[in-house]
Parts: sequence; C-alpha cells; structure tokens
Amino acid sequence: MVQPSFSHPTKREDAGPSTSPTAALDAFLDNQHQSYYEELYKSEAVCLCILRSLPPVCRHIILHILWSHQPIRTVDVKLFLQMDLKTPLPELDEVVRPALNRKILHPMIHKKAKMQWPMNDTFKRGLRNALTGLGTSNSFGVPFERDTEEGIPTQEELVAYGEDTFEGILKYMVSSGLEIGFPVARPQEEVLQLLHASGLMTDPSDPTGQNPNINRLTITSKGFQFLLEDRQTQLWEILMYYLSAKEANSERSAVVLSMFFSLGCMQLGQDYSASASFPHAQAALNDLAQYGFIYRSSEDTDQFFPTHLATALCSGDATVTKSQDADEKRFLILETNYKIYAYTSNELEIAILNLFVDIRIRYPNLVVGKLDRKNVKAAMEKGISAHQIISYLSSHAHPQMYNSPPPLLHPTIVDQLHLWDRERNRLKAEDTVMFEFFSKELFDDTEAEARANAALQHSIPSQKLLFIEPHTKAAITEFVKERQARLRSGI
Amino acid sequence: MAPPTAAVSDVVKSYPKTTAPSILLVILDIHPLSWSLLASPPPLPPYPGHPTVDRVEASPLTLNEFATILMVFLNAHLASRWGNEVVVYGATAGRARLIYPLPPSAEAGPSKPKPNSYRPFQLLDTRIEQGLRELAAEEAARLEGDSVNSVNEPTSIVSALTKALCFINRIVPAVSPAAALADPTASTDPAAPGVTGPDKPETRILVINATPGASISATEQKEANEGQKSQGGQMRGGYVGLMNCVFAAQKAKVPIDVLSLPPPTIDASPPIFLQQAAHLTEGIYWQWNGRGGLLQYLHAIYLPPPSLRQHPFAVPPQDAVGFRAVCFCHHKTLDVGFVCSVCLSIFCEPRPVCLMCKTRFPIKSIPTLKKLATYIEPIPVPDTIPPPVASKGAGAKAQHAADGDKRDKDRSRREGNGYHGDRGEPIEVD
Repeated sequence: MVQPSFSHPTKREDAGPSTSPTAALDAFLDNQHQSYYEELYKSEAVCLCILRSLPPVCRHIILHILWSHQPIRTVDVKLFLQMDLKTPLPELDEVVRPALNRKILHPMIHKKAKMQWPMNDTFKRGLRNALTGLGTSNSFGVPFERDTEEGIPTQEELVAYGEDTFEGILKYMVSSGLEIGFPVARPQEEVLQLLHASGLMTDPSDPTGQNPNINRLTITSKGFQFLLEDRQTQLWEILMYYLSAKEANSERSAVVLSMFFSLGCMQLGQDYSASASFPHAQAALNDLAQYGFIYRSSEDTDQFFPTHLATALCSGDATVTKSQDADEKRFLILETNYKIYAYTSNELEIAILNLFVDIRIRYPNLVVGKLDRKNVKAAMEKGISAHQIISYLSSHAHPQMYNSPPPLLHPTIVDQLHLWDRERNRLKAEDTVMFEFFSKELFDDTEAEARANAALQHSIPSQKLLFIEPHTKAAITEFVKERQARLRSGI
Repeated sequence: MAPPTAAVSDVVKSYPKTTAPSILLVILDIHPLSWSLLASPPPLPPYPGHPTVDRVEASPLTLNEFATILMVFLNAHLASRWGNEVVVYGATAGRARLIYPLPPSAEAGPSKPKPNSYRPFQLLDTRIEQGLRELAAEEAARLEGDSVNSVNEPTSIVSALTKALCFINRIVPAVSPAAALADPTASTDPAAPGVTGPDKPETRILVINATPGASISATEQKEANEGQKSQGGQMRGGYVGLMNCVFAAQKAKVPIDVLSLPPPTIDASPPIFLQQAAHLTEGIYWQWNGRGGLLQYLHAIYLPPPSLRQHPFAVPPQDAVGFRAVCFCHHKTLDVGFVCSVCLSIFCEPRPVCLMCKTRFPIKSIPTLKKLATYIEPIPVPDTIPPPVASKGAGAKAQHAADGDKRDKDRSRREGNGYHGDRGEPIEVD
C-alpha cells in the first residue's frame, strides 16, 4: 500500500519554491500579447526585473548581446554555448525559449543566409538605460521632497506595519473558517471584494456569487490552500488577482503591473512621491496601501514609503523575505509520534496550525499539539492536500530538525499523511443512468452494445442491471427499443 | 522529428536552473604611469586577413573612460542576479585601498536617490567615482610632497589581492572540521539554513592590470642589469607574496580572472605572474588587443559566474603560460634557477650558503652545477596555442559588430570558441 515515491517528496518540493513564488506572475505574463510587453518595457524597472526572472543561461545570452547593434545569430549562440554547429535549430530555440516567451527576442528569422533572433528594441533600450541610469521614465521612483526629517518611520516600523496589515487580512480569512473565531479587525471593503472575486472567500448564503454580502464571507478550499503558501507566493497571487480584476473592468493593467515592478526596485526606508512616480496609477497605489505594500502617514499626502512586502517583491528566490524573518518562520518540531511543538506566539500561525493539528497545550511562546486522523481529514475536507501540509511542515521546520539525518520529516508521518489523503479518495462519485431488464437476451445485447461504444460503467448480470454513461442515455434507449421490437416480432 | 526533440530537452535540462549569488571582487590598477601609457598608445600593427578588425584604429584609453565602462559592467553583474555583490579595490603605486563598499563606520550620508537609476547601481557608481578621485588626489599630493620616487614603485596588486582574500574569508567562513563533524548534514541538505547549500555565494576576483610588465621592468631595472630582459618585472619583490596569494586562492577555490589592458604594442610580453595566477586558480586570463570594444569583452568573457563557465559558456583559449620564477636574491625572472633543497628558495646562481635558511652546501658541487646548467636549453614559450583546425566554416565568419568601435572582435577568440577551452600545455622550466 505504501508507495516508495512517498518517502522523499520533500527534496523536490524544496527545489520547487525557489522558482515558484512568481508562478502566478509567469502564468499571467505567458498569456500576454506583444503590444502589452511593448508597454511594459517602457519602464526600466520592468526590464531589470524581467531579466532577473530568466534562467541563468538565457539571462547571460541576453546580457552578452545587449550592447550589440546586430540581432543575435544562431551560430554565435552555438559557439558561445560550445554546441555542435550542426545542432538543430529547434534545440537553440529551446535554449532562449524564456526570452522568446517574454518577447525579449522576436522569433527566429532568416536573413542573409543566417538564422537570427532580432532583439526587442524597447527592451534593449530599457535595459541599457537601467544599467547606465540614462532613462527618463522615472521608473525607479521619484524621491519625495520633504522639508523635515521628523515623522520618518524606521525600517523596522515599516516592516512591522507591512506584516500587521497583511497578516490582518490572512487572520480574517482564517478566523472565518474556524468554529471558534477570534476577534480580528475586518479588512476594508475593496480587499473583501477582491477576496471574494478571486474565489479565496465566498458567501455561503449566496450560491450564485452575484451579489454577495461581503460582511459574511467564509473561506473556501482555495483560500485554505492560499494560507499555506509561503509569503512571496501569496503576495504575487494577490497582486495577480488584483490585476485580473482590473482587466475584468477593462482597465489597462500594464501600467499597474509596471508599478508593481517599480515598487520591487525601491528602497526600504526611503520615501517617494506618488504623483511623480506613478502619475497614471494613483488609484492602484491607494489600493495597494490596503494590503500593506506601502505606508502613508496620512490619507491625502503625496509621500509614501514602500514596505518590505513591496521591496522584496521581485527578489526572485525569496531569500530576502526569508532572511528577514527566518527565525520567526522556523518554529516547528515534529516528532515521529505525530506530536508537534510550535515555538510561536503568532496568532496567525497558530490559527493555521489549528486547521490540521489538534492543539492540546498552549503556553505563551509554545504550542503543543498532535497530528491526528480526525483533524487532518477535516483539513482535507476543506480542500487542503497532503502535499500542502507536508510542504508547510517542512518549510517551517525548526533548525533543530536539520540536525537529524535527512529526510527532514520522518517518512512515517509523510506516508501517513498521504494515506489519509488517499482514504478520502477511496470513493469516487459519478453520474450514471441505470437500466433494469427483465429479459436476459435483451440485457446481453444491450450490454454488448454499450461495451462496444465505451458507454458501460458497470453491469450486474445476476440482477440484470446496467449502469451507463449519462450522455449515451438517448442512444441506448433507442437501441433497447429497437432491439425489443425486433425480439418481439421475432417471437 | 522525435530524436532531436529528445535531445532538446536533454541539453536544455542540463543547464542549471538557478545559480548561487556571486560576489565579484575587482582589483583595479590605477598606477598613474601605466594609464599615461594607455592614454597614448602607439599605432597598431596591421591585422592581416581580417579587414574589419584591421580598420579599427588603436583606441586611447583613459581612466575616466574605463571607469565608465567598468561601472556599466559592474551594474550588469549586479543586474544579473538578486544577491550579487561587488567589491572594488584600487591598487596604485605601492598601496591598495578598498573603494567599495565603504566600511559601515565611515558610511557617508546617502545621496538622494535618482528617479531613473536603480539605487544599488547609483550607490556603486557614485562611490567608485568618489573613491577613484580620492586616490588620484592622494597620488597627486604624494608627488607634490617629498616622496617623488613613490610613483616609481610598482602597483601593489599583491596588497589588494591579500585584502580581497581576507574579505572573502570573512564573508564565506570555511566550514571548520569540528563543525562538519558535528553536523554532517549541513553541507548536503540544500534546505538547511545558513550559508551552506546552493545559497552559499560564489566568489571570484577580477584583476584589471594596466601596468605593462616589460616597460616597467625596463625603467626599473635599468641600473640593475641592462642585458637581462626581464618579464613581469612589476612583481619585483612581490613575487613571493603574489604566489602565496595565488596558492591561498587556489585552496579556497576562488578563481582569479585577469584582464590585462596594455595591448601587445605597449606590452610585448604578457604579465606572466598574473597569467600564472589565472592558470593556477582556473580563472580566465585575457589580454586586450588595443582596438576598443572593452565593454563587449567584459560582458562576454568575465560576466558569466564560474559555475556557468566551461559548461555551458565558452571561455577564451588561454595563452600558453610561462612558468618562470623570480630569484630571491636579485629579483630576476629566470629560465634556469637553482633551488635550495631545504627551504625551496630559488636563486639565479648556485650558492654555497642558502640566503634564506643558511644551509651550507658543499662548495665542490658549485662548479659542477654551473657546468650542468649550461647544458640546459631554455624552452621557448609559444605566443599562443595554435588556432584550432576544426569547426572553422561558420566560426570565422561569426562576427559580431557591436556598438560603435566594438566591431573588432578578435578573430582568434571567435574561432577559439569552437575549440573546447583547452589551456595551453604548461611549459615547465627547471
């Protein structure tokens, strides 16, 4: 029953998050058209961030040809990569595929007996200007001209502000899914609307989803999955939901997206002028303040401070966010007897743990609980998968856990979680149509016919019962009638 | 169609998905005499067989221009990955100084961020400019003062190298054997916190040499001995120090890349000790040909981090390395030397008593040694390794024409790309 593949899923999942935090962004960008990129690449900050999101080999090829007038030739790439000159062209296309997807390079063309990829001029100009600092788009943020040094928040205050605001939203989500909720501040209306529109929360009394009462939202299974993601992934997902909502209102999202990248290139602790930095995205900037991406001392001031949520947005490998609160994030000790010790006093983390852990003891800085079948299965009913629980446990493992020989989580527990997951999937519900026959002959003929048309789901010859696919019902009924008529006439 | 697509995935999959953050330590030679030579280069000899390259005039290079090029290159290094860092040392006559980053104690008030430049780039660029100006001003003050002769001192690359290695040692602490024993999983488990695993930064040193070996040695050693045409004389006295640095870097697996700016017209002989340094630490040695295009060369040759070199990116073919040494007694570069069998000091002539460890050798053996030495014929060091014969067709024509005067790709390097990066076979000298 226990499959060997269960035992070491942690390795692969550890490799995963290093590339995946921007998965939502990548999915969004992959669906965009050339003209969308042309607009994006007007901002130097976007060019810089997109360059960094490419895989290393592709990135260095782009930097290699950046200062050249000519399109990049396939022979040059072959020589640079020490490939055989007879390498087929599709293979080379594969090497620069990420750049082609991001429209940094145009598709391969044939010119003067050479195969080459022309480079996107807007991108080239943008990246050159980013490196030389000669751009004019103010994409790295115009600093605010302030008269006084008073009232400037420190970096720690900004981090605390960002954490509080964003965790407030997460806490609201998690408290809506618990029987015993704890008092939380309700996020602002626009935030709730976005949570509803993205499907992270839903109003159970409003099955159509048309006009929900946003004061009575409860968390969905998608929302639970969202809670278990790491911070960077959550941020990008929220931003992409926000962007999709903008697009749904047929607003142009390129300006907003390029603002996200600009925020990602700003400095923590520096104040910027909103009207000068983002003249076309004022509304969006105000919306971001509700999620804690930026801090404003008052509603109507032009000055704003990006928080660490914004400035760490583009650091592709999440090390920035990890290093900032690495100690806080690594608090879980899991024993082979399913006991969990969580050294945390963070309400949100405890609430998330409470989703799948039976919490027994609670001290000021320590929570002791147990993974048991009832709670884990309850979590799985909510839509959380075994993989998500495992990746949550391993990404929050206490440094002490690394002192035991790998794998990080004991295989017993990992396997048991997968088994609990499997248990849930033992029964599969499918729609069906049942036929009951009196004549054995008619039953056999119909069964053969249904089997031939791959419409048969199940047959019970002893009781002369047939279960067939619902969409074939009309055809089978037709067949039965015709066969019946022929059998009768035959008698 | 099926077989090529299978191959596609194999090759592309073999490329690394991510690389470790990379720390680049640049040592910039700003010796005033060397830069005055570079600013007025003699005309270049014709470059037969390659009209595009031949058309390019010798391009004078001033420190100002080069600093601009270097800043763009360093920005590109910072741009290529989050977490990449740059450290810059300036080395001038007889002294070396850390230019960037500033020590935290001396942090000057940060200048106002510019709306069109990425803040780290801006900090780096302003600081480099400021640092270079400070060093130049100091140098001028020294000339004004009593120590006019100081300008004749060689560039203290060794001092800068030592500082760079100390810097690396500070940020990348070696795993002590005791710690490795106590925590054997730390280095193998990529998820482990700390500096182990894939997040451990890669470090490399890039030495930008501006001092021509031959000409400095000519001015310096004129009085010492006229006849001996000594190469790499800029290392006079610093030879042991340099070699110690090289071996330390070799042990710490820190590649030392060398870019030698003086083109062959100024500097007929390569700085052999820097070349040895690059060879021993598996760095890249490359000499500028004097025809512009430095920005492109820096990007093409020195930008990929060590983990991406050789596989998949090509490196220029390394010239044959002369493994000559300097004697401890007269600081002459030797083809034939005499080594103390106790302390391994090198001397240019047999000695009855070792100058270093005072070991006595039988005086009778000296004539024999001298006689034997005359039989040894010095092996000439070839200029470069011969260009490869295979894979020429497209390779030779694959000319990049880069910005402005950058259409001067060195033909031998281009062709060499097809050649799988073999280093020149070292020519050993007794």
